[in-house]
Amino acid sequence: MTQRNHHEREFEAFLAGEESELARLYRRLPQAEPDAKLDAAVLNLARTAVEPQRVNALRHANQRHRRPWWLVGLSSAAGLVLAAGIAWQMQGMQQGPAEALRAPASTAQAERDVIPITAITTPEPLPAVALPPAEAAVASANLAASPPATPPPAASMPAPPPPSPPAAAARSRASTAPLRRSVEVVKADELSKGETAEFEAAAAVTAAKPMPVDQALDARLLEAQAQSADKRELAKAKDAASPQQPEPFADREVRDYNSVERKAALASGSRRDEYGLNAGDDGKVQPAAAKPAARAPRPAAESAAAGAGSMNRSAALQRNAKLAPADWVIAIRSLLRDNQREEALENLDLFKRKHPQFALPQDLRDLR
Amino acid sequence: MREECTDEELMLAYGRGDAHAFEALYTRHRGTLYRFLLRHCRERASADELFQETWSRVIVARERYRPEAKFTTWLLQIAHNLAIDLLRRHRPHAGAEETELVFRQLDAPEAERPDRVLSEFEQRRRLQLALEDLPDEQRTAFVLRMENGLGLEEIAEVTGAGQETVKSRLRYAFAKIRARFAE
Repeated sequence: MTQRNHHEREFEAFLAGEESELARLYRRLPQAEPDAKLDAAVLNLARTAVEPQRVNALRHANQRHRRPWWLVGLSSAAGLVLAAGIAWQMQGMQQGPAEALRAPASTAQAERDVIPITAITTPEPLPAVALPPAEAAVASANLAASPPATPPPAASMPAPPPPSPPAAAARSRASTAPLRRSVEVVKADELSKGETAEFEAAAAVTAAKPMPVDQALDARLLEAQAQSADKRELAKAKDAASPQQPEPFADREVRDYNSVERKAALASGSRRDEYGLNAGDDGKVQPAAAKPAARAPRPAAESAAAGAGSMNRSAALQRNAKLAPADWVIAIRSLLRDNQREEALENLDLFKRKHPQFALPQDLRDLR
Repeated sequence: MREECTDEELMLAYGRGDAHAFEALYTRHRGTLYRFLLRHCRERASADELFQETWSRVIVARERYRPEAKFTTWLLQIAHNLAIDLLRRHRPHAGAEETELVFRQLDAPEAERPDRVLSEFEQRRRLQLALEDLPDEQRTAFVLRMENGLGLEEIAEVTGAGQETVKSRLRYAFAKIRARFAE
């Protein structure tokens, strides 16, 4: 029993790993180990087994870092688009500064090319010339004949020129198209602006240099006659075209027409001749008296046949007034022969005022 | 660095392709595994074959290894199964005399040859003969306990037997060996 208990204790010590005689004797048994060849075979087998795995791992690692082909292509395309966009933007930005740099140069070039023009101030109306009482009465009577609603053209706007051919054509159409006529009148006004400015400059010079009393009288007289003749023609056209047209519109038409006609007449050379002014080739304004050859008399019949316009009539009247009394009488008779009785009467009236001492033939004295 | 890692960590590292981890693991267990196999199959050629086959099984199963299983237990279990298969193929076992000759010629150092140290040799010879006389299950359990230091649970896990069975096998093995020394 004691020996059995002793063996049981030794077995428990054996199971517990306690040091015992049997354990010491077992450790003294030969400690066999695999030889080097076996070690090499096992280790080589282990390395060989994991080599593909290592290669695959490296390949996977490389593939993980390698970008997909489509990503590379997409990146390249995006880069190209970005580069193109930047280039386009840069081109636009370069054109902007280039234009900005060219702009001052072109502006400077333009400044060198353009002749500086100073604004021309509106010239003062022609100075009132002191008229003799008789002449003033005639002028005031002619002015009073105009509609009261129509302001004095010389006071409100530049002097109206004589009717130019376009203006005359517009006037001929006035009876059928008042609105169109207004438009054409505006166009004629715009066309004659340049000439009007030239005339206004000449008028300014004239205002600075007083005309002789005789020439001033003639100018005033002719202007008044032209106005009265124009207004009469306008009244006729208006009555023939639209008798039912409201009066204010007709007045406006007449006013516009007068102003345009006067502008055109003044801008033309003939009316400048009437005012005793003319522009030389050098641009300087010269008195008409300085060039008598330019105002050589023309036959009255030729003048009467030139046209029925008041400008021509006024010009003809002006020319006839320069004639000798005997020649003027002949011209009046020619007008009568040509059935231009109205013009003949105008010439006769002016003749009587200019040459009151001249003994007219009986037929002309009786002419009314 | 490698010395601080556990067997399981090294095995997992080798499962990921780290050959150096396997080298460290092999260095730790090469001797104990080889002796276990040599004790089990009693001849060196078979031990070499089983040794290489055991490590081959470990290498092949490297990616399936899970750290829940202790590496030593897993390794000895593979070796035990292979040894069982080998013993089944090679029965009847070699005789005690042949086994004694093998131990005497191969394993004992020259200075510790039995003829040099008679008492020591006699003791180891008796132990060796006692192990040879044990049944395979008792011998395996005894070797796993003495050579590899496994406890009842681990021996039961390696051998696939219950702990009480293992304890009984150990008890019988211990008693037979004591009886041999008492002769």
